[in-house]
Amino acid sequence: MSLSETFGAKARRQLLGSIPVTVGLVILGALVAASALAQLVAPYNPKRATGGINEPPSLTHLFGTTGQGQDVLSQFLYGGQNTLWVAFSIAVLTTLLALIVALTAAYFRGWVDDLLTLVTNVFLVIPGLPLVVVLAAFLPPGPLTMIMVLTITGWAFGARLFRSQALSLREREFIAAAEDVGESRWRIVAIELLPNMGSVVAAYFVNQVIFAITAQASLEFLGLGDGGQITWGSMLFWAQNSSALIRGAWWTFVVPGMAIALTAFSLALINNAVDEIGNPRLRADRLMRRAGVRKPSATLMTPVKRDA
Amino acid sequence: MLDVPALDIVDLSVGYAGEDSIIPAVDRVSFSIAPGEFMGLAGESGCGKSTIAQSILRLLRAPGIITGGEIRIAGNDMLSEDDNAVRALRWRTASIVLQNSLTSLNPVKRIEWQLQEALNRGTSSVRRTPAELLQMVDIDPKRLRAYPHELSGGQRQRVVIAMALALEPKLIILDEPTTALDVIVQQEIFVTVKALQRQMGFAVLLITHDLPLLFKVADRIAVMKDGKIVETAPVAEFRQHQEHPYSRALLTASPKVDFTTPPVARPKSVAHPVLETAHLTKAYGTNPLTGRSALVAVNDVSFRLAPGEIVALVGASGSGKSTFGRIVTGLTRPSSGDVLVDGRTPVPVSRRRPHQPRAAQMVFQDVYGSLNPLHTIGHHLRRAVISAPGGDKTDVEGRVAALLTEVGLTPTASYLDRRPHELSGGQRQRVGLARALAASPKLLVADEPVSMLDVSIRRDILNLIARLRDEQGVAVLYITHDVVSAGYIADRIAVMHRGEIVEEGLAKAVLANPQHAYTRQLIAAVPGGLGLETSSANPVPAS
Repeated sequence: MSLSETFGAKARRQLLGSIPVTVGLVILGALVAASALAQLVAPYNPKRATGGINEPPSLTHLFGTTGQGQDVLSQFLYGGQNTLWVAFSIAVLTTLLALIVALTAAYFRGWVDDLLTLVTNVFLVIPGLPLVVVLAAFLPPGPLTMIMVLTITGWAFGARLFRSQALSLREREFIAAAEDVGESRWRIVAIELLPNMGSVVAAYFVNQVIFAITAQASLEFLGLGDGGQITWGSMLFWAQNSSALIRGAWWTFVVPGMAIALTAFSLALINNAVDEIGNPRLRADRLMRRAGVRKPSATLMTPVKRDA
Repeated sequence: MLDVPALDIVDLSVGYAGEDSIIPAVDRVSFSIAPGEFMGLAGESGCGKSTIAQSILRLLRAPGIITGGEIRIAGNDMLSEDDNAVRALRWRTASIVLQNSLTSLNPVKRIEWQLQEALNRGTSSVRRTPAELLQMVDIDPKRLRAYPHELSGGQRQRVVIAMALALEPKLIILDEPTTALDVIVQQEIFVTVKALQRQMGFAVLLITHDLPLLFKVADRIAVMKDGKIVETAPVAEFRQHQEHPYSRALLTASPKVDFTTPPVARPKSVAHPVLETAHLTKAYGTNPLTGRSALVAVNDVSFRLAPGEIVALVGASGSGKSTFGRIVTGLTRPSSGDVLVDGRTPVPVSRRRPHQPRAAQMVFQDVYGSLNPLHTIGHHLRRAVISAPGGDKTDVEGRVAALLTEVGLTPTASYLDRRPHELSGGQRQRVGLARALAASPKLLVADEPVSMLDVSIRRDILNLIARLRDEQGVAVLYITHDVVSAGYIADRIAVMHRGEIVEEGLAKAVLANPQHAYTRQLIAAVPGGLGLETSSANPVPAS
């Protein structure tokens, strides 16, 4: 499925027409907008103690205060900013790296492919989290370290996925035709091959954002992030540190936890629709529902509908 | 019970669910097949014939919806009964054989297991064994232990037919069963099917685009167009006279060899041959120690092609003809031997520099796959013009328009911004030809350029190729499995068999008087003959 088809008018109509996607887009949009406008809408400085310790939600502090007396709402907003830009950067970088490796391997084949596949496989078998912990422990904490560490450990699966897709596309006759006409290699890869991988790349990218948010939060929760920076993960870390659970200060960990869960949830809803564009069977099922036939296509029994 | 038709379809309508409504594909079609009758359903791609075939057993996938009518198989109502009742009828009362035998069989199970599975669906007391089933379709029962990939395409299709017949159904539906196979294998399979039909008495519904084939095997023919049956007639009657103008058009459209004009030898050209190969060999899977090869696709082929000549390279699938074409254009490198195209060795694709002169250009078979679905026709041609060696690059648009005009796509402006899916198959192949001509090649290598096109437009494309030769003097290597079209267009024919050229000569001379046994076999297998028989039996009425 192609890029233009993935993002074309027809696809947009299809995407916006389905309820789950609309819900996903609304949630994600609200989260992103609230975080982006943190400087304007946040009621307090998130790093200063502006209230009592572990105050439950009230009108002055809508989401309560932390064990250090900071406003949870302000922390949630500023934290969203820091969390989301890092997550999207990781997703962009892993997708790009995976694409470069995959397309190079698929196009040149031979020893180039062998070598790149070997490297990819090595990165695939390295156990992710332990490596991430080790790397994060040795490097100076901060968002750039986070991006670097998660990019290095997160690209390999995508490279495999894209390589297999590119290899099958490469066998299509229009690639041979472009070669025969005398197009240069990089033009063939960039103009003829890559745009045809649209839906796979889009689905992988959305998945990578989910991966990046959860992986980042896990690392920070373990204390491997920059403690001075406010992110959803470090909010969880401090909540844990100040024994919020024992003290019953649920608002200090439920708010960042829900933020992470909601972001992942909304992206998963969006991902479903991207999947539908690339998968003809899902699409056919949707068309059948539209036509008023409620029967899973898996039964392999053509429906009869006489009033149409 | 002899009166109950094997299949009775009344006013059947089938559609596909679309964004806004159900798009009709089959419109109130009615026909019936008597027990033991061989019925043929002919039509071009998109006419709805396969939709009918799959609707009968209610196997049409989503988004297909049956929107009206009735289907009865041996008296059983397929549309009103519940799903389990319909499922019980599949295989036992009616079964279907699809075009692609490779996907009909499970690649990781042995044939024996799959045949047994089909047999286990039955409840009857008389049980056949898998070995008997294989024998029934003329395959050595020793092959029971084979996996599908170890069988040839023809053998696989026989196995699928055996499975379809395992429970002795009253009706079998054959949906383009031999389209992917070559004529010799096709002929053999239908000999088997006809013999089994005489023996077992089942009825057959054969879906095909190939009218001459139906003349050979069917009792009755129905012709479909745009979701409707336009004509139904017994074969003998239909051969003499076609009621509907579309049936007539379909029949006369297929290219025929005109033996009435004597073969004209083109004057021996004094110029260098545009293509010359000497002892060309391409082997795959060569063991570096023993020097033995797993497969020799092209074996010691020496061949010449004069400027402005059209030579057809005819052979069955796997004969090495496509490999030969790919070597000539530089897409594949030979193992040994020499190729000279316009006096130069073709440069392998991986070593090509932009604007390097290229004498041979390829025209591809797959009209759906050979154009990038994302790009406009204008993009394809502009890129071809820009990448072409030499020439003036200042007026790219003008050159693109000239190319489109040459292949008959006018007004050119209306095609530039269209994408491939907005064009018909024939138009796409015209674009493919225009793209190949962009570099002003001396030689076109056309690998089955019309085999994926509908019969009615094949002749147009062949005529276009012949006209391009006449106007531009480009030589053509026409690679095909279809002897008839080869005889229609080519000056000379070279017959390829197992990697070797077994016979070569003036086209009509080879067809009228084949020397090699394989050539004779190939010609004999063509349904309806090369052109003599049907053209005399079917005088085209003056309109």
